[in-house]
Amino acid sequence: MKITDIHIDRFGVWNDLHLELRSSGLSTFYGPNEAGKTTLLKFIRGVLFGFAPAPEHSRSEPAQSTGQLGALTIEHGGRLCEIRRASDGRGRGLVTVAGDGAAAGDDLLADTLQGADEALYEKVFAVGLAELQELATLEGDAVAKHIYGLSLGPRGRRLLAIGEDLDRRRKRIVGDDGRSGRLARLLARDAELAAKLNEFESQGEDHRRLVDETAQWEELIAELRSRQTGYHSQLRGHVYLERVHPPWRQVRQYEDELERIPVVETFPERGLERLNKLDEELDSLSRCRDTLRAEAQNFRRQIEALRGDMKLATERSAVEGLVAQRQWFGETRARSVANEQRLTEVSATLAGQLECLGGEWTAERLDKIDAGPAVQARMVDVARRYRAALSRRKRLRRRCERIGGVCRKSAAAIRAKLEATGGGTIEEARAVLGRRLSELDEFRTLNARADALKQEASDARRELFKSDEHTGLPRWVSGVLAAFVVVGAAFAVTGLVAGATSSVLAGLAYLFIGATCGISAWALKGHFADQGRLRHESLEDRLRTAETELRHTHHAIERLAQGDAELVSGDIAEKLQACAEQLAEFDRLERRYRRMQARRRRWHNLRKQLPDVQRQLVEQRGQWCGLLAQLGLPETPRVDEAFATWCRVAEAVETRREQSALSDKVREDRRRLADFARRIDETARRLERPLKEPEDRTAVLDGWAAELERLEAARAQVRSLRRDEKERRREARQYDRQIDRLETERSALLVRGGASGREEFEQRSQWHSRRRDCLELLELVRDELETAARTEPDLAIVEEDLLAFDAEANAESMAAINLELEDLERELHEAHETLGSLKQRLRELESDRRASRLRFERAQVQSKLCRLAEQWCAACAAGDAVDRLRSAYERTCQPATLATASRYLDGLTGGRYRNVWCPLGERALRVDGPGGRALTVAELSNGTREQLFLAVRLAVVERLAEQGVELPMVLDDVLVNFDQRRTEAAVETLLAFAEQGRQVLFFTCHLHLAHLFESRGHAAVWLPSHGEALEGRRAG
Amino acid sequence: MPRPRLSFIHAAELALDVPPRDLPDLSEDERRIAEDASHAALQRLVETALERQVDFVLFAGGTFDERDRSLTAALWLDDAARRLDEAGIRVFVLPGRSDPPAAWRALHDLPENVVCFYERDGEAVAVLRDRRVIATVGARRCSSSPAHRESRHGSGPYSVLLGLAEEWPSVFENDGGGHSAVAHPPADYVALGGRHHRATLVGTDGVIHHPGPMLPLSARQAGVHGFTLVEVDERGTARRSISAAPLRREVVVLLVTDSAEEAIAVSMRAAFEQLRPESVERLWIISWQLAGEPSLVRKFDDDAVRERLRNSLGGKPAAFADVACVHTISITPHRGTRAETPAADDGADVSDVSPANADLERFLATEEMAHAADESRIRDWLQTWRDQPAIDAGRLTQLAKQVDPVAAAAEALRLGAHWFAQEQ
Repeated sequence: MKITDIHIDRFGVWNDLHLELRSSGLSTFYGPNEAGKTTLLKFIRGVLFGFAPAPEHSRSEPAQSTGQLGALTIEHGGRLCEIRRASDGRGRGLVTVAGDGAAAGDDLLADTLQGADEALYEKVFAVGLAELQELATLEGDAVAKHIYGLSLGPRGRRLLAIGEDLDRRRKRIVGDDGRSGRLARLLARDAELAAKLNEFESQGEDHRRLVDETAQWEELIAELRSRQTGYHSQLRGHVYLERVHPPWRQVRQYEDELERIPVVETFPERGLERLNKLDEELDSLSRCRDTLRAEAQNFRRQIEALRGDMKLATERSAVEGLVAQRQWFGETRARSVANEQRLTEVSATLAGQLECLGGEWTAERLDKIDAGPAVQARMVDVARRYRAALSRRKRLRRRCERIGGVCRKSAAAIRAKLEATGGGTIEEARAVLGRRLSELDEFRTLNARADALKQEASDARRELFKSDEHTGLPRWVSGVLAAFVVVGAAFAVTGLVAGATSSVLAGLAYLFIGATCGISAWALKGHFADQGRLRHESLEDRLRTAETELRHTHHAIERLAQGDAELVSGDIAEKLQACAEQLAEFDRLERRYRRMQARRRRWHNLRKQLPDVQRQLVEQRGQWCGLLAQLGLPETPRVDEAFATWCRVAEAVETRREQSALSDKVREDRRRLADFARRIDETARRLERPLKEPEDRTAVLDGWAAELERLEAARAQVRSLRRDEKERRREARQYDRQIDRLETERSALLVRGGASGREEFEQRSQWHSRRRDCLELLELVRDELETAARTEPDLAIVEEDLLAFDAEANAESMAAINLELEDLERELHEAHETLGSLKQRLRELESDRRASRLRFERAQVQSKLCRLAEQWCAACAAGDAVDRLRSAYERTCQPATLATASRYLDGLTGGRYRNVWCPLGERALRVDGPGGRALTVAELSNGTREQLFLAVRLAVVERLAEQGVELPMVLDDVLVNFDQRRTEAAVETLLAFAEQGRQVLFFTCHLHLAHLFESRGHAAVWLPSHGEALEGRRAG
Repeated sequence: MPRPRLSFIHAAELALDVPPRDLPDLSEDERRIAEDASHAALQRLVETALERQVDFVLFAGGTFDERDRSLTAALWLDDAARRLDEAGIRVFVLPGRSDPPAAWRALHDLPENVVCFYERDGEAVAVLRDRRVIATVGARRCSSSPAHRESRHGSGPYSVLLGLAEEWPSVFENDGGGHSAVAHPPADYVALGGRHHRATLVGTDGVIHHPGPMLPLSARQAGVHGFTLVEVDERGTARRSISAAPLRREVVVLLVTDSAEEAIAVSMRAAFEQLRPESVERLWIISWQLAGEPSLVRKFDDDAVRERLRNSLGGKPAAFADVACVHTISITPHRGTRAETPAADDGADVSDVSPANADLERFLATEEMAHAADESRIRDWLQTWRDQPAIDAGRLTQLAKQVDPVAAAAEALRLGAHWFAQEQ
């Protein structure tokens, strides 16, 4: 797209400005400050992308003063078209595109811009010094994607990903903070293991020390054992002497005693023992014989004492018979007394019952009464029928009374309601109320209709008023018509001029077009005028109809109001509500009247049943009274009373029967007791023990029974004593014969022992026995001495030692040695314990593998540490290699835009800066400075930075042009900070850039720049001052 | 009179109670095997010595690590020496770098059959049998001077010298070729110890031998580890390597030519079936390295894939019935056939996609990716860690020494394959 003309009707400081531009190449515009250069730049941007809305404070001003209107004539795709944009200052403005192509309007504009948006245009195509100096203007997405490339490409992404992967690997080793990764963990573990191993460093020394200590203790134990052996030898000597000395001493004692005892040649074997035995047997037999004789005398005396009463023994059988009936006698007498007491009580009860029944009742009358169950059942049956008849009559009477009362109350209430509504019947009152209700409803409907018609008439009148106001054409139609008329007139004039000057045919063609425009305008005007007239007529018809209907409605309302003045007063809704409630009340009253009629019919029926029930009651009462008379009871219509009398009579009859039975029993018992007492009296007389009246016969019988028992026991004891006395006397005779035989044997024994009496026999026996014992003991002690001597064959003992032996001194020596031995034993025990403990510690130390395990683990940790170091080095080496790849990639695989920018920068800086590039994956520019050093934007001087940004923009414009986005480039004094040499280089570069078929509009306020361009054949357009007339100012 | 037959055991780097490094995660039982590996190896040595009734045993350096001050190691050594002493077998010890003479002097309770050569070039010790000297054992540094050579002619006793590989550097560096010490060893048998792998150099009149360390302490020490049973007679020297370490590390490199997971699993299984453990071995740590072009192997640089491959190994082969196996899988990308490097970009638009392989080639071609990183460069990289609380300059220097540039470069290559290679 190229701009050929700029026409500004009004925009900022410009009014009716028209500039013609060169369709290609560079156009320079010179104007002093505030000449409107920047305004011109904004105008071009505004026409293409929309005017910037006016500031808020200026919107209240008249549209004429803030309006923006103008057009750009452009050449695009070999066609000319005009882009016109008009704005009242409040919006972006209305754009119209007129051209000679088929496309028009927005489509044409969009096609012209090729998708370039306003941001891109502002930052790349139309820039001033401010935009040029700011890096940020190149970093927006819209621009950056053209500078830094659409993507990094597979290689770039791969290199970036590798960089991230390397970082991750390094972080895994050293951690995010450089101190918490695997390395730190391994180092910590290594340090921990080293610290633990330090604890085992002294293990060897400990072992050596323990071995030395063990040897020392073993030497000590050996010495103690040697001492222990010496003490044991001494102790053995003392023990041996102690063991040998007693038997040696006893041998000497027995030999001396044998020399002192006389020799007894003959003496009966066990003589003294036999003599003692015979004496003991004689004493024993004599004591037994004497005891038996004393017992026999005692038995005789007891037999004599047991002889008792002989009379009782004679009458023993008669007494036993009476004693056997003793229990029967007591029981019969007690029962007789009880029956007499009961008879007295029953007689008193019967007297009370008779008194209760009345004076006419006697015992004889009771004997005639039958009080059995059959009679009672019959009485109950008759009483039940009589009671049923009574209750039936009672129920019937009660129901008649209740229904009659209800009927009377309902009739009175209905009558009261009807009288309240003015008398008459329910149907009449209801008809009056229905008519009133329909009148109220009609009145309400008419009122609503009148309101609706009033509203409709009002609406129609308002719309009619509005349509009267808008009879003219719409503003936009007027504008269009005016445009048509102007265009038509212009074409007509052109046709006339053309026909007169150049070609008649062309003139006719222009005239025809002008006429067509005029006719089209006339037809359009007619079309909009007919539409307004038809709408007005329709609204008038609507208004008339509404007013007519409203009048009719008012007449109807007045008719209703004349008939009933009350109808128009008050709230119609409340009245309707009251009528509806009254109607509901009449419905309820009618339902109540019907229920009252049905109840009255039932009352009449009940009253008809009453005589039959009364007759049945009379019959049952007759039967009841007849039954009472038949039973002998007093007549009464009260059933409960009759039954109470019947119960009392039945109880009295029962009491009378019990009294008769008790009288018979008492008489029989009295007779039997008298017979038994007579038999006791006769027996006592025979025993010569007469009874004293009134002695109790039962006590007499008890005394006789006790005496009989004692008599029987004495007889059995006498028989036993006689048998025992005979046995004792026989045994005493046998003992006498044995005593004689033993005394003969004792005399013979004394003679054989050479003694005359017992004392002499005992002395001789003692001598004989002692001598023999001494000989035997001497033999035993000698054996013992020999045995003791054999226990220590390696020890020798002499007579002098035995003679000089002192048991106490020897015991003291042994005790001292034993004490020494105990001390030694204790020391040995302690030494063994210590030695065992040392050996145990030694064993534990020798079997302790913890240090080995720690070393094993530490070796693995250190191996891992070494592997980690290798991985780290590998990562570093690989990182270096990747950095080389990346560096090469960054310098050789930059986006094409930056390659182009490098070319322009080379030109703008006179070859000082040749390469522009960006680091991989970053949006930051780098420039290779002199010596190949990469410089960031911040490191560049201001001028060089502006040259860099200009070069980048030129490159982007070139890149966009290749993509079909071809827009004129507008530069507003962007070379002011360049030095002379670079300014000339920039001018050359811009001219070369424009000569490639691109349009560049260069605004400047510096005269030397304008001259510089003029010196290269590009004369500047001198922008007019705002006071000059429009005519005569033309570009070029 | 012919010289009698001499037999002895030569062991180096016993590393008693020194824990193996670079172990993967192990179960409790496996960990116990690894912990007690040095003890089990020593027991195996003593049992062999008793069974074979050898004349003496040589411990050539690295018997324990003095820095650990391990009581357990001292006890194990004492126990072994006493058992050998009871059988009349002498033990000759050469202190090494990790067990200097001072550390041996501190072990004053060792039985009398233990002879420690605190100083080099001292008097040789005679070994008697039936009151007759059958051999002399001494310690000596390497010297090319003929004056230091032992004379051994005719019926004289055998001469055995102990030395450290660090003190005999020229021997193995020159691979024996042309060095006088190799052509004419200074003794019938030169027993080397110190940090070196198993190696043997046979000269015209003697043998120089290093049995390799008793245990595979580091991940790079793959293969069988143990000691050497040496028998010397008039005909020459016979050496028999006897496995003693219950722990074994193996590295199996599989060339990946097909990115199909199943194919790799089959190859791994087949390779696994061909492995054969020694009778004393109880724990194998097998490191599977999948080597190939980055585009092929990068698929296996994934925990889930590695887990599936481990699972695909299934049950152990019959030969491993009593052996616990732990598998680790890693990838080793290599450049393989170089792809055509495209021309450098000429400022084309970023939407132009360059082949990823080109980036990979550039990445691999970078100098750092070769094994060019020296200790100072590694220290520079590790300088970032100086802010860590437990890191000081000394620790950084130590770590820089421990870092294997080859391993770091391999890791970097793996990263490159991960980032740039496109799966096929």
